[in-house]
Amino acid sequence: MKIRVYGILRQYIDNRESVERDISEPIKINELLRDVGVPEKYVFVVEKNGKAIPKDSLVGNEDEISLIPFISGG
Amino acid sequence: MKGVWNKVLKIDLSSKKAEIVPVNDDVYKKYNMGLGIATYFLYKETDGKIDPLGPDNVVVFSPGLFVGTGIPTGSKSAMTFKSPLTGGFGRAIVGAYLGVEMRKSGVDAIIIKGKSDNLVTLKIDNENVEFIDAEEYRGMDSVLTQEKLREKYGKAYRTCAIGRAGENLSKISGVDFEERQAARAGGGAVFGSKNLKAVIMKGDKKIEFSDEEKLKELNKKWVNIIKEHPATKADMDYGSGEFYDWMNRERGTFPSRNWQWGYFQSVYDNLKEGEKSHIDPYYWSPKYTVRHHPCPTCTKPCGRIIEVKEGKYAGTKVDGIEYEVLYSLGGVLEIDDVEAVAMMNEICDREGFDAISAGVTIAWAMEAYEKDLLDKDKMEGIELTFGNADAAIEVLKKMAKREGYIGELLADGTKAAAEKLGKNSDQFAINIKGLELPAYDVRGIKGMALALAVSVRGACHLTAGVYGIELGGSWWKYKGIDRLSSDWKGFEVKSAEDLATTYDIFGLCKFSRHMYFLEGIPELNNAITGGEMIDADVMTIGERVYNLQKMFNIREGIDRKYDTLPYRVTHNPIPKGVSKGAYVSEEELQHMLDEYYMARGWSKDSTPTGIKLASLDLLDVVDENLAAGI
Ligand code: SF4
Repeated sequence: MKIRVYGILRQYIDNRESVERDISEPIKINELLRDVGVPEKYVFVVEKNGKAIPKDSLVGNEDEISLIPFISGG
Repeated sequence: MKGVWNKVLKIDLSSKKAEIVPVNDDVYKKYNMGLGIATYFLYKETDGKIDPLGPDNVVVFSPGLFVGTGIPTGSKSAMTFKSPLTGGFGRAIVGAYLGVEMRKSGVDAIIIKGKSDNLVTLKIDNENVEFIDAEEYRGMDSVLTQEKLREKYGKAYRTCAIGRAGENLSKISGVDFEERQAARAGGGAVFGSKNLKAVIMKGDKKIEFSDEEKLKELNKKWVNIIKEHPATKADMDYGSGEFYDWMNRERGTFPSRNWQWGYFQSVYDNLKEGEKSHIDPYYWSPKYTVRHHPCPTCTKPCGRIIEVKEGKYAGTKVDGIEYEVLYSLGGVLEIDDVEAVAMMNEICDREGFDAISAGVTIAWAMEAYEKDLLDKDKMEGIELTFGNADAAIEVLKKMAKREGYIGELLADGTKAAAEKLGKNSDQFAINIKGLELPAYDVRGIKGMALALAVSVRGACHLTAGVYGIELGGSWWKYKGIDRLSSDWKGFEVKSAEDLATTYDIFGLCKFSRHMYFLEGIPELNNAITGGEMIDADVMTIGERVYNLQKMFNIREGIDRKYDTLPYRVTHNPIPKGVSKGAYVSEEELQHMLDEYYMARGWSKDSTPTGIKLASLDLLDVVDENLAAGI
């Protein structure tokens, strides 16, 4: 599965734009976050295939996930 | 009450007299400091319908309660005045070192009225005021003026000054506080109209806090929370424009080419894999940053000094470039040259322009030029087409001097310019109540469209600051927000305004609102004042102050009719990109307004009801006859 990471959260994945994971069965978002190394408290929105989902949702290997921080803006 | 001086300093420039006025605890309990008492005193000290550029207008300056306490990002002071640009409530929030001096001076605010017969600098030592002739600084830029004043009177003074734009009464001019701007709504012109060039201040008293130990402990806690937050590193590395690329690619809501586009099309459509827009901070920040430039007690400085060392813009050195300026002097002018943007940014700061309004005004002129609506014979050979950075630079300089046809036409912003030019040019004048729009294409961010339409100071992104909630879809207690829907936006905007107002009362930077939220505020307040504030009180005080600002506008006759959106937002959908097709219809706007006034407890024409004002304990300040019935 592809996990796209935006903005200030990229510092947790060596400033890359996305990471890949192979999972054999669906897992909860918070577990996935732990595995990827992005602290849950800084993730304001998780999108699955472009739609926002709760952080305890299950996601599967074929999903594309986006992790979005709060936009403090300017 | 601890943590305040229970005194304000009133200065009359006409008679050149100053007096100390005592203020009782009740005022602080209701309004606290910063934007709270600055709103209270502005309302009290002015009558409706005064000339904003006349001697009866008043400027109030007050640091937030947290300023001078060491609380990280507790750095902001508030300046209020009647706006010459909107005719309504004028407000500018600024990370001013002068505010820190005021916290040590023995007064909680200064209130300036009248008009001096010569150009003056106010020199304030603790509570003592001197009126010093400033003729030698006439026409001098705002930054240099302050440097000269500190050279002459000593580095212990912290300062603010206006540039040429303010002296020439440009309605889009601001006041510079050591390269931090109280920019919006025309405060520079109010200074200029009073013949006030600069204020310098120093204080050497120690303000007493209720629980010094507790305050120290809390400061340490917040320094650590901020240090480990990922926004801190991002802000320090790239500044407030960190999310510029995301706004273009992922949301399509970075207005460009005078809002003809919802993202910077001519750049993004041509980028090759791995390339970056040249105004993207990820491109320029590592190359040009010389050092960080924090506001007072900020431990996560987004501010940076950048320097251009080579090429035709060599010698440019400026605090920037903020996200808003990437838009106003970049995207909206279709300029992707960071060095040119930096130079324009520096010109704006030194001449004393609000960089948002000045840039958006030039964008309007570029469109008018390309549509052949301007008198080209009077353009002195300037080809003011989109993307022409050198033409924009020349025009900016002329605006500061009100020089020639184009300088005079643009000096007061888009509303005045479109009125002068006519020819339906108001259809692409990007302002609300006269104030130019910030860097969010609200056609694709409908809650933000409402927030701009109803903001008491015109199109202001920070009055509610709901862009983060809308663009992300969730924040703090807000969940499931759909940026393209017009439902439930009234409730969202109302509560966000109340919260944002408290940040300006306490002087906390809004770039740390995802750290302190609401819950961090009461214990800090209590350690300083000895009060017993709880979370619920925070929103109430914000609501009280916001309603008083609204009553200021109602007193001026600014009601629902003025809560509008630019023609381009309601008639021209975003043409391309992620938000393609989005716009805010007139029906959607009216629906959102109805919901918002209901959430506020105001009448259909947007007037606060008597019962709302009574429940906020405002009827001792506000004339009850101005309130609406139910
Ligand atoms: S985050 Fe930026 S604007 Fe806010 S206090 Fe720090 S330097 Fe100032």
